Amino acid sequence: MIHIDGVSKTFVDGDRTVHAIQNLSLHVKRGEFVFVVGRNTSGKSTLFNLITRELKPDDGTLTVDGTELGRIREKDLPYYRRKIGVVFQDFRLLPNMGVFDNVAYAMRVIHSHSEKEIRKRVAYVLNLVGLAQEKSRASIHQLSGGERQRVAIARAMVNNPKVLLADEPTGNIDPEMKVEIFRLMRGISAQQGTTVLMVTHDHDLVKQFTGRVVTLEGGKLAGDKVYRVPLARIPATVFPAAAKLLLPGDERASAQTAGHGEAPQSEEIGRLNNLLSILNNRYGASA
Amino acid sequence: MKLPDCKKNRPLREDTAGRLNIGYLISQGLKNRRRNRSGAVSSSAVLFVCLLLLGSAYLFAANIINILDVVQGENVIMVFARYDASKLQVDALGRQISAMENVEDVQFISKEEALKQQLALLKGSASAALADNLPENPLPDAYCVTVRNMEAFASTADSLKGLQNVENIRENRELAAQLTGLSKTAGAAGLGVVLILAFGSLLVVMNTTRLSMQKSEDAIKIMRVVGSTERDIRIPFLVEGIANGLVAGVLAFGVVWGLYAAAIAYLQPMISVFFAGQFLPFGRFVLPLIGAYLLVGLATGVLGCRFSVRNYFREKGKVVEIVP
Ligand SMILES: Nc1ncnc2c1ncn2[C@@H]1O[C@H](COP(=O)(O)OP(=O)(O)O)[C@@H](O)[C@H]1O
Ligand SMILES: [Mg+2]
Repeated sequence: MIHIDGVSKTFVDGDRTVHAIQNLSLHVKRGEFVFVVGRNTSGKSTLFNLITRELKPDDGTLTVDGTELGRIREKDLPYYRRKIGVVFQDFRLLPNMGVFDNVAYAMRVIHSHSEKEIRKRVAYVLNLVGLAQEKSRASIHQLSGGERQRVAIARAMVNNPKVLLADEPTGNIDPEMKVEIFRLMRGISAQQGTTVLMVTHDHDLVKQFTGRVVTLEGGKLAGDKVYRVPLARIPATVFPAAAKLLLPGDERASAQTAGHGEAPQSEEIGRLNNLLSILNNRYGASA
Repeated sequence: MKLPDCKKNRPLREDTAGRLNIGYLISQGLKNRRRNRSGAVSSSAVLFVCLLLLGSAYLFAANIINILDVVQGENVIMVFARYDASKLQVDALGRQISAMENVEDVQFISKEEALKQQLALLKGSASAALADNLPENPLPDAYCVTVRNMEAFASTADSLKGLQNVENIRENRELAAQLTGLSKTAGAAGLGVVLILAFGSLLVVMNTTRLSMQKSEDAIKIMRVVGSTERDIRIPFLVEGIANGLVAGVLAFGVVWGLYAAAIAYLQPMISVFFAGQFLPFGRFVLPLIGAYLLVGLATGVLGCRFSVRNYFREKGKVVEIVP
């Protein structure tokens, strides 16, 4: 779905040159869910801006859903963007409209749908993001941060995008609501088959989920791992060997250096495979 | 949609894709206008003044041109007999005029008849009062002389003036020249003022659009992110500009109409004393005025908005970044 090959982006800001993205290659399959993590200024937002073609790369190619972005004509750009839903950290809801109209807005400004179609679709996405029917009449300032972000996600999904980009969607949300938004994003990906990239700073939360985690550092790819069991639920001290098996390459190495014994014996691997299926049965719900 | 699209999991109707939701964008424009009320008032007001002056200048010029036509087309010279000339002398004068080479026709207008005519032009009670209070008829006997060859008009006028018992003559060459001068000056001054005001209106409309865009900044960003074309993003602001232009146009049309009706009512009797000409009826101005007002209102709205939107996009860049 998303193919990023050797992409670089450099900003020149006065006499300061920032290599925001450096020779980055990343491939994301259709329907895949990817956490994108990394420190501030590691280039996460720049990566998203490159995918939406708000920015042009200095080098390399991006192809999204079969469209090579370098070949899109300026006037076709809006049509390309209709394939992508975007969720912002600060929600960006329109305060002079209610919940329903905010979501419907994204439909109304690009197509000529009938009101009936709009009502149906908006109700569908509001339900998808877990907002009760009554909330659709509420005004934005009556909602909590978590609810606002749900509305924003509904708006991003209302035109049924192929790709959903969420840039720190939990950045302005109460801690206890964050996990809900995480679940929601995962659920949308699983249920709608949408390819989702989600930037987050909440490492502890990421550890509670399975799936792919891409790490950026100084504009470069610093890690790209798929967790089959939530990292947080692998009690490394209790099942040190299991941890080593379940973790992707480098974390396995670090688990080893943490001093929990040597490479597992083959007999041990059999037992660990059993353990793996138990763990997956038990914690796989979020996978 | 111009890009290939996968049909799977797509509850939206494909055939509506790409069709512009003009009604919604227009309603957004009108909403923006309501939110940007001070802008609406100031752009409409400046444009209104501009259109009012434009209309007045136009009506004034049209009437002057009309009077000029009447005046210049007049192959008629009024010859006024001396007040103290006897009936016989006046008759003799008439025969003398008839005998002149370049005279086609001579018509006698007695002073009584002339007075009756003038009184008839004034309104009822005024004329009665005037008639009662006049000690004697102030008007002279006159001959209305129709000239055969207009090229010899001036020499004929001069010889008429030289005849015995002629108090003076009235021919409208001088008046025509004065009127032409007046209409040219008025036209130039009017055009200058209108141009300045039109430019001012453009600036005010641009400023109004800009304010409105600033107020709608979030909406613009969202439109861009969800894939609105730049043309569609412009529509609400265009609608706002056009609406302001139209309000100004409608107001100006009404006011010009009222002023013109008042002008006819008060000025017509005075003017009729001097000219055969009349005010042109307002009806013949309705279409040109509406046309011109629509054009100017639309043009200012569209141009002002376009410039402003272009500047806005140029300043903000085409980029609406994901990071705020
Ligand atoms: N439009 C821009 N102009 C100049 N520098 C920019 C611009 N956008 C991002 N940068 C720089 O690029 C680097 C990466 O930024 P960003 O992608 O926003 O990082 P992140 O989202 O990971 O915090 C930062 O050093 C930032 O200052
Ligand atoms: Mg960022």
